[in-house]
Amino acid sequence: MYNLVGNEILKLFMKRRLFVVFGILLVLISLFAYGEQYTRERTQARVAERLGIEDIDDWREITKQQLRDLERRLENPFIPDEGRASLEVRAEQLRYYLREDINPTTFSAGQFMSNFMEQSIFLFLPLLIILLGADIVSKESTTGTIKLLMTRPVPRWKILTSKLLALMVLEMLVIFFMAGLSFLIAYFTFGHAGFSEPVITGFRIVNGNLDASNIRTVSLGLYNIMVYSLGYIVAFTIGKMALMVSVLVKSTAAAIGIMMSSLIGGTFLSFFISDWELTRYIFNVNLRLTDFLSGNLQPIEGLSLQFSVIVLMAWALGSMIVSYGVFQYKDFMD
Amino acid sequence: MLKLIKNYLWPFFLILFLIGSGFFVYGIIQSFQVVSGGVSAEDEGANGISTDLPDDVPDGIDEEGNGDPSEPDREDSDSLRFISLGDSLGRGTGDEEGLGFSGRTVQLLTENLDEEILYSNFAVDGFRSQQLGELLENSEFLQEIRNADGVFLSIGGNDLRTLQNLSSEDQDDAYDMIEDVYLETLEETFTLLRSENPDVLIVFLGLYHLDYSDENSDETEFLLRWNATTGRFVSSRENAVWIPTYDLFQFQLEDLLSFDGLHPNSRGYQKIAERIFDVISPFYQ
Amino acid sequence: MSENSSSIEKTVVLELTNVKKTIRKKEIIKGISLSLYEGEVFGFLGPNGAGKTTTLRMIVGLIRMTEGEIKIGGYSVKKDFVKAMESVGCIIENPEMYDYLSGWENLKVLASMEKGITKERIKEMVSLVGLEKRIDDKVYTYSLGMKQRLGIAQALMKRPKLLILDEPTNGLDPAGISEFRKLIRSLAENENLGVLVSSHILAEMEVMTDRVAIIRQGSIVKVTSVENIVREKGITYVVSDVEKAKAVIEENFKGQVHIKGSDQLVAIINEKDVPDINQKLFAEGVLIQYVSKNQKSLEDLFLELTAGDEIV
Repeated sequence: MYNLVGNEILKLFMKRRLFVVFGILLVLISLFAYGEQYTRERTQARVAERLGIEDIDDWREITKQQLRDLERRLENPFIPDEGRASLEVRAEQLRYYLREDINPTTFSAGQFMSNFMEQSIFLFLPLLIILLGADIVSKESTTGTIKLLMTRPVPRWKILTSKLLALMVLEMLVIFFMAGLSFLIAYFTFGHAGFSEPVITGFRIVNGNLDASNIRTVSLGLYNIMVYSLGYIVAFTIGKMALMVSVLVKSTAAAIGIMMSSLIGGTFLSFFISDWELTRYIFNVNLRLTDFLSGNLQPIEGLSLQFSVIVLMAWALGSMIVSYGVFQYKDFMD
Repeated sequence: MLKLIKNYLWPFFLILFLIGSGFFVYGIIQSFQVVSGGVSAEDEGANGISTDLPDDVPDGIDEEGNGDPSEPDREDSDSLRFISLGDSLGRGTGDEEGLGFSGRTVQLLTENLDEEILYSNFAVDGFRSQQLGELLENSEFLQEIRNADGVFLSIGGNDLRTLQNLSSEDQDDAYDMIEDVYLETLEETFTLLRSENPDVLIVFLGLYHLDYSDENSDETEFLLRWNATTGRFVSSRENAVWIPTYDLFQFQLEDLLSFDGLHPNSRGYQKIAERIFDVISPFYQ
Repeated sequence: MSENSSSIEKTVVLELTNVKKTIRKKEIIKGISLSLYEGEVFGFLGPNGAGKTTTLRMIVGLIRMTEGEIKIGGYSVKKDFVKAMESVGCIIENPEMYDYLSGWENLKVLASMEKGITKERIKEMVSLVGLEKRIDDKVYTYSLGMKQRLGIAQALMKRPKLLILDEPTNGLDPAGISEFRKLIRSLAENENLGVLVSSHILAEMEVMTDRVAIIRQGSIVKVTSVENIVREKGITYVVSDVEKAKAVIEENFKGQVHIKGSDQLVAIINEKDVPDINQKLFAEGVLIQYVSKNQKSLEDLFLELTAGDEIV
């Protein structure tokens, strides 16, 4: 199996599609970083203008004032738990900025990394995985090389498993590449890594409302590990689905087309019929896993991180069952 | 190229994959812990923020805020019982902490009186006077009222707001009609409350205005008339107090309203509660 | 002639027993049975759509058979796929290879999926098919003939007991075809390889194969050895007295004689006996008007059996 997966990795590498994916990432991350830098500068200028600050060093005074306000509000013993928690974590954040001498209005590479994944997880990342995975079987059917593979003394399930594992390895490679490249580019653009900065997380959705009673801070480093792990869940699921379509459809173009349209069409569908009970079982609406960490509310009720992960895993499992079932008994006619 | 990929890159990827899997499993476990409110080890170690917040919120408040009237506790004669009736203001809509003026008043009372206070909120968003009347026909509510020491009542805002849909010519006639029906219903409500519980203190909330600009003088006129009538009606009853809010909001409307531009925010509710507390605390001493 | 009789004792490398294939309720293959022996080149002949390729694909496991049994080297393709495939090399239709890899990389990748193919063995195969100079170039730069040769190298490198070739001379130039034919014959004779070839070029079959199965509409119409065809050519005699001639030939020369008309008969005899027969007939008083060798070829047989179905 080691050898078979190695072969598949070799093929995926030599097809150069991986480099196309890396190239797209390079261009997009650079553009994203430039845009982020541009908006940050403009916001800073506007804020400075409004507050009448001339020197950018004044941020310490403003932050200290904000912290004092927060601490005064915290002295009130009748603040309910959830209000207290959100004040506490915000105060903690401000204290950190003062202690570490970081201007809170600037941007760190770590923040950029998590932002990039949060923005990519529901469309861009799946698209890259589709580009990689949708032709892993169908390309061999199109060119006829599948006949070479299938007439080796290797059982069919092993052939499919080797492709599946190779795809999983490359999915991880894409995630690593995303993380590494966005960190490097952001580090050169924004100047500091900021992995120990505190990030607010721990929101919950209770009865359709955002519950902030459990919020707290985690380090940006850990937050990035969490965000990119959730990214891998999405990549994993989309990879399995792409593999299934690749098994079912003979032409690469059709496979990519089917996956793309179901990705985009499903997202549209979830907008139009968000009150339909079954909408939350569509994979598209469950792709925004990082929103549960950052506290952005979902458009669909009844979603939680646990629910979404289970739904995605169910899609992945279903896709795998179909893939193996079809591949094992398929006739390679032409 | 083949040798490079198969002999070096592929084993490297495999190791990377295994390490990455470990990382991701860790990240996924952490994510689950964060969203489920569990405390992760790294969080405590790296940042020293404790999620165990000091629990100094008064214990005396028994929030039965879900409005379930099925468990009246008659035995507890030592504690004071408060209920909140009426519309969204009585409910506390717009308050970031969900307490509303009634909940906040109870907080203040708990803090200052040496007594346990039980509190239930039966107010419903959007209620008009007639809907409140229908609700009170339910015998379970009457039981609640019999046991209560104080009733917070906020009703009428939605009755008055039906005027907004009419043209200005019709508004004059319509106002009189709406007010007549309102006062009639209010009379019934008060009679009912009194017949069930003659000693209960009824705290009635006055209306504040949403637009203090000169352009809407007609609306302001109606509101002031409404407040005057209702105020006179309530104040003339025994054990009932009408709490004006018009002046509270007059100069700082934007600061005291929540983002919906209609309901007070927590600060607005707090101001109302402070005023109510000042008025009613002697009653319970 | 003597080899033919001894081939029965040879090991069977491929055995099909009543193999059927039904697709969407339509029976494509209607029960094919055949045996292929070591050192034998077996031809598969039939018009398009007769089921040649489907049958070949069932043998190598690309298509699942609906009914029946295929055994390669004694192992069932259905139940013991891996063992069965260990002794098969094949080129099914066009020799598609990974065109973004070089020829050498293609061979290495495929070799790594088999047991015990050394680098030396791959090199040996490359020189056998004469691709040494171009083996490190990407396959997309290859001509069809070069791809075909790479396909042969790929099929032979595992030292198979059975070689399956579908339309193997497609894209080869005439010199290449004749070289290829020699290669196949020498592999069969020297390395005792069983070869199953399908082709629509009849002349090629006649030269290359030991036995031919003629397949039509999903069933084998006839399996015949090339030697049989040669023997069936027979000798046509036009004589004065057919009855007497028949009796004379059958009595003295162990041949079969069919009377074809009032003065014509066909004798299935050894060609070497013709002068003796002529002499004997003459001595018995039968006048020979005309003696000729029949020209019945594989093509005649084919046309006769497939009832004029189009071949190509």
